[in-house]
Amino acid sequence: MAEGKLTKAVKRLEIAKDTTSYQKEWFRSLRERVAAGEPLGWGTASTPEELLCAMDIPFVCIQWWTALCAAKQMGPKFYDLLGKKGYRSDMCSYCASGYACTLDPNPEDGPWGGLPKPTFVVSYDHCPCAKKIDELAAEEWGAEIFYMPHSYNPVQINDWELAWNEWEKLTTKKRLDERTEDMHRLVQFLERVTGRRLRKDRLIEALHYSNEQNMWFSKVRDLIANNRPAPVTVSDTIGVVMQTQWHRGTKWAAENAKRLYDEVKALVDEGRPTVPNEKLRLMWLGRGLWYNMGFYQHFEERYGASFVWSQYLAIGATKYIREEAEKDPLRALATRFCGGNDVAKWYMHEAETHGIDGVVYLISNVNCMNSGAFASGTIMDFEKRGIPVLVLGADPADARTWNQDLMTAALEEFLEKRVIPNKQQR
Amino acid sequence: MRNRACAENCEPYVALKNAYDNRAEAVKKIKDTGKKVVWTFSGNVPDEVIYAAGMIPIRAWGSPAPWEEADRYLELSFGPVWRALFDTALNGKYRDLMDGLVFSTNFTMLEKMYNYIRWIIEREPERNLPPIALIDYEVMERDYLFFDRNCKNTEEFAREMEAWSGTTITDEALRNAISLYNEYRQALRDFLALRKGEDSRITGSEALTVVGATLVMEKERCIPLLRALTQEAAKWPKVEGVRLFYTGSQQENTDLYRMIEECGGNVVGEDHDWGDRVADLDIKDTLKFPLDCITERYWYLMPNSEKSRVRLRAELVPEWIRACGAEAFLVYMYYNDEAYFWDYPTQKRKLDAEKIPSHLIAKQRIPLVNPQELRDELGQFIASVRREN
Repeated sequence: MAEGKLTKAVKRLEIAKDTTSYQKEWFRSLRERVAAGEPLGWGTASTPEELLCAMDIPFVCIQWWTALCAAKQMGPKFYDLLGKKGYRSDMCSYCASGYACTLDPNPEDGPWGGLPKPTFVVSYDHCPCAKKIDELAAEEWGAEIFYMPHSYNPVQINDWELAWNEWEKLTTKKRLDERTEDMHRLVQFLERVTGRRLRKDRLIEALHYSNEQNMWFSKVRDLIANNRPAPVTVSDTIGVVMQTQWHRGTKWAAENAKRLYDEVKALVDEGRPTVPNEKLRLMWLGRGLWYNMGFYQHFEERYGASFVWSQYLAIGATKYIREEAEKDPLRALATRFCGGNDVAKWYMHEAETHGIDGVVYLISNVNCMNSGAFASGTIMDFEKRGIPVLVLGADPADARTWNQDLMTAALEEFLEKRVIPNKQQR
Repeated sequence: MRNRACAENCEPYVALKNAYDNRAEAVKKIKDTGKKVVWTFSGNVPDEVIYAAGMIPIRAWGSPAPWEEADRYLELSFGPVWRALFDTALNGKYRDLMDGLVFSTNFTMLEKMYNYIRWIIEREPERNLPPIALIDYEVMERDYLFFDRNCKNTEEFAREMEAWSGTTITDEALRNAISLYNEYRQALRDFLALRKGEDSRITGSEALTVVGATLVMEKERCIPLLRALTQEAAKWPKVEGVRLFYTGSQQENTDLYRMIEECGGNVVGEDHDWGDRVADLDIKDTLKFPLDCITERYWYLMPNSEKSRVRLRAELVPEWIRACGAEAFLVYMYYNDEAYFWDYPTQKRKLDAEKIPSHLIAKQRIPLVNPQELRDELGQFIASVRREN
């Protein structure tokens, strides 16, 4: 377990409570559907959920499940199971929770009654290990597996500027043709494995809902970026945003995102920000600290330091929307696999639009997490621009890597010695 | 372990070892001929295309620690092999010998490295880094769709090499390159065959030396050396030692293999980019377009762990072990070289069923943190294999 006391975030938005209730109910019904013989998909956050939604195929996202396991403090148990099976228990925490569940002799003891057995896995070849873990899990489950190939995008682009309405420009024609072909392969795979047919009108509808949902997210993002103090913080929105995002393509997700916007807008209109004494605006880079969501709130009271940005809302707000997707829905979805390669530029853009005073970067000290994000380059860019960065070396899912007292002290020192003096100078 | 007298007194071996020990000098000899030298960062870069463009491909090797550039730019998740290579690309020590750097996607860290160097080139143009390229092969799937995609990627790469060299790549130049490199691989295979099986005549460290030397030499020069060496080495004394098949982090120098030999073992086969994998598969010049023939080889090359399924490698490993007559299987991983780890438990179950002993050593550093501990671990494993046999 982690050293020091971990804390849950205080839920300050009504929608946060409602969303969690909905998610629990959704998972209960998903378990029922699977028990009744319906197929279940399992895959990474990159999986084009709109497609599964259009085919009415229940789906569980690995990252959501891992975050849930971490929040329920189940990580250590699962990693021990991996160790007993002959795997190292201290690596690939983010991707291995699902596989670890398959090794649990009492799977029903897992979060919310446990993960039902998936019928198929959608694996994305983005790192040396994830597809292997997916393969091992699929084998344990007796599930079929689809590999979404990874391809390098040679086009240097500011993807956040083009993603919404110039998505054909996100990569070369050749690569977009190939990724579109992969979408067709995925559809064929899903139709074969589940016996369900994809209808184009349903897919277009799902994409419209997805656009609508993420458009509301972009409006929430703008309210946070443009208001001082920010109406809400990361700890207020992260749960709602993520749980909504895993239902991307549904009417409920679009409506829930609007409800989030309405509630945040009311806070702005009524002058009731969740952190009224905001003095410092912080950016949380890296994955969420799922087992310790209360950590963010400690610094609000003591320093007026609000975490106003995390990648979760920002990705939804900038990178998912595809206008006129109905022209070629599978091609539009394919562009999700053609993102920009200079993520540091995007972070800088976001920091500037949000008035960020300091950046806290969670980088795992035990495995590959964030290795793709070019953390060092990002840090250099920020520091060069006069925005100080603190790196917290801990894993987002494995609480054993966290020391609450040390991390709290490190962040307090960072605020006192770097962020506050830096802001005063500016 | 001291070099064997038979090797020390063998002229072609000495010439090759000299190139291996003094790689920059070997590359400078090429550079002095006026040819452009392109440094490749993995065995999945199609050397033949670079050669057909009138340039000489050589394999990049890692710089010794400390790795200041890597420490400045790379995250902790880059293991020592990748840190060392990154420093080679950036530290400027070999800048005069570099006309281009080519990375490949068969290792995630190489792709990231390429991306990071692109970032550095854009933001720090004053560093005057050489041009960089990336060959993007999708090797997970083996159907025509992926073959076709990879052929197009080879074509893109060829156009890039033409731009670097200012030379048009003709089919004739490609066929000449294919022929030369096939000849080279055959000569290398003939030599490496001498370490396979019970009547092994060369040690793993000697094999590594020779393979590595050829990676930094012009092929026209190393083919006759390899042939002469093979004739002589066939008469070298038999190598005693527990025969191991090695997988895991690539070994660019002989330190580990020598330690294994000192512990009573001998690596008779491996699947990394500085060993047997270099000699794997010729290019079949049977297709109409030579670039397609080249693509086929790099697509079917001995699958490395990162771009291969657990099940496939679990099936291949026993075959590889049998093919080289190994008695045991060793996995050796540097810190954060993790893909092998997800392979191993499945491989182990398979090998256990065939009564082939196996052992995994993980989280190693360069330089070694505790050489004696490693030596003891290797010694115990090798002794246990010897006892069982």
